[in-house]
Amino acid sequence: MNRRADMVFAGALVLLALLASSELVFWILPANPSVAIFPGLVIAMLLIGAGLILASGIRTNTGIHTTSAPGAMPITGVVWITTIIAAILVGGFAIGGTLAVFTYLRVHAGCTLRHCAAVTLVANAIPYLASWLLDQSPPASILGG
Amino acid sequence: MEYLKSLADSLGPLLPFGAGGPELFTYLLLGSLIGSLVGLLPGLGGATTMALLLPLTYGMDPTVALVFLLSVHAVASTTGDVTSVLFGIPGETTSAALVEDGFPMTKRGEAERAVAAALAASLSGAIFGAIVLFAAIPVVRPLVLSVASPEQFMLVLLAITYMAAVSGAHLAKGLTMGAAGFALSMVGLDPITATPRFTLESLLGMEHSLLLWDGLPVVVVALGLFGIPAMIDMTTPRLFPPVTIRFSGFRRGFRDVVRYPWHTLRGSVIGAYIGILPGIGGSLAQWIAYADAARRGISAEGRRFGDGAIEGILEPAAANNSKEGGSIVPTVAFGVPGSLSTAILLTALMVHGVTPGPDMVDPERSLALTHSFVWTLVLSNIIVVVLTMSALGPLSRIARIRSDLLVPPLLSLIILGAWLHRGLAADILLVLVFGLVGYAMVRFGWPRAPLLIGLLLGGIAETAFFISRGAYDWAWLGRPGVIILGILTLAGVLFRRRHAAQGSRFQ
Repeated sequence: MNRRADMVFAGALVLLALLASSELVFWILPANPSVAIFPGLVIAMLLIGAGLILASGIRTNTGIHTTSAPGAMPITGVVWITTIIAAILVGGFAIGGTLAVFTYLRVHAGCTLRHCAAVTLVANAIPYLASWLLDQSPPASILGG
Repeated sequence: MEYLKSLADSLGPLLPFGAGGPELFTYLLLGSLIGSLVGLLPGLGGATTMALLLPLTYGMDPTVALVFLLSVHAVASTTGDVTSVLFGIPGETTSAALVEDGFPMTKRGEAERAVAAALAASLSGAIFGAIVLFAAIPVVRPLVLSVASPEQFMLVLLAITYMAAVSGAHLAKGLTMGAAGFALSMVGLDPITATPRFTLESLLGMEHSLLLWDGLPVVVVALGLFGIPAMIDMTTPRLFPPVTIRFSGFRRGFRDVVRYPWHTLRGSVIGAYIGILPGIGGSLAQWIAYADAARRGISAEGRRFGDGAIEGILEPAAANNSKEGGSIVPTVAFGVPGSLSTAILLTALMVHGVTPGPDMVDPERSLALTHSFVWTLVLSNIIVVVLTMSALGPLSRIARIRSDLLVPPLLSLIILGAWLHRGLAADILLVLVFGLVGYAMVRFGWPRAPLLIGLLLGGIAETAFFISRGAYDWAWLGRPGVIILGILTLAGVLFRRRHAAQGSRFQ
């Protein structure tokens, strides 16, 4: 169990729960008290659970029993997936997708140019083929691709 | 009699030349093929694939869509067993126990016998699981019909706490994620008075906050939580070692199921029982079945377990597939999913407008659909066993495709799935956000299933809570059903806490 990572995760949850409870108290409760009961219970549960884990993490990390450091994250995979999705969002499958997927295959996977082209073609044909089959427009992008 | 007739009637449309044309059979076949390929590829599980394919089923008839999705999942662990036996790397997490004795048999030159035994035991397990599903429905029917809003609310709580128990030693994390899922389900207009809640109007502005009025789309969240982490994981390729397969000992493997019928039966019973218990987790069934086989120490052929004992393949393989039938029982009857895969099946039911509970056991409504699940479990496994036996060579080569090359097409499918749900680019961003959250959860050991279940069942829980309060005020807490379910919920939490404490003492 990675106490320091747990602490960060639980801290983020506590922060979100506090933000949600402020909206509940200052906005939803005055407007309609009956719809605030259930969210109130849920947020209390979330605060208790995340708070306990946070407290346990703080105790462990500030005491002499500090255990493992956060595990090494294979950051490459995270960056590539984020880049591909962001590129598709900005430039669409045709432009952004082609550039990002081709670069990923060439740089990360070390494919030959022919393999890069084939996989890129398959990957980017899927949305257009599916959109045609399902009679829906393909995903739009910020640049309109 | 009516019940048996419904079962018989629901078989016809699933056959290639049955009533209603070949549509249902085509999708059953397609789902079985996709599921068997997914089972062969490590990293992409049957449940994740169900989540990926769910958006593509929007336009389908509910029966066709659900049969298609269930067939994908029902066979993934069958072919997952094959990679465990041939390469020593499980194609599915639920197939890991087969590595113990399957891979030593392959190294000994008995690959074909081990694969045949695993496939035959899987098929027997699937048939047993389907029988359990069929037999359980009339038994649970009176229970289902006695469930009112207060009991429904308690059942949702029970589902969350049992799903939290999947996290084993990290019970607090599981419960916290269940609460977080509930909290996420509150985003949007409340179901009673349509008051906007947590729509981030001050942060996003009125125009963009409207996107959140419908709440967070479950399908998009599921795609992010389970699809994106799988993609990130697959960017690091894992290669199978080469293996030589000789196709001469299949008959011997099939005969093993008949030679050791009790092992296959015991594995099937263990799997179905664990499948019915919500929140125990599919991966556990194979290990309990393996432990049951291995407790004798030496196999009937005089081999030690872990050194290629055939019983060490038969029991976990049977348990693996019989648990599928068992886990569908609480899902369709009470809307309480027993595992991640049934949580996604529940999502699919709801997306297609099918409400779990009384409707699923009512002959006038969706009983035929429940019975088509029974047949899907059986038929999809028959298809895959025949297919795998006849094409084991090419199939084993498919398993050696580098996972990082599969990332772009699968990622396209995820993005498309997020887009198709509402046609909003914001959902693509949402899938990325939940994907990164899901990946962090995997890395740091936070369970994702309770979050999804919380999000899925939060709306049902709130409506049931509101109706219960309106009808009985707080007196609903004293109803016998509520008390029994409350005790079960508490007992589940305490039992898990004790186990976790014992586990940490051993460590």
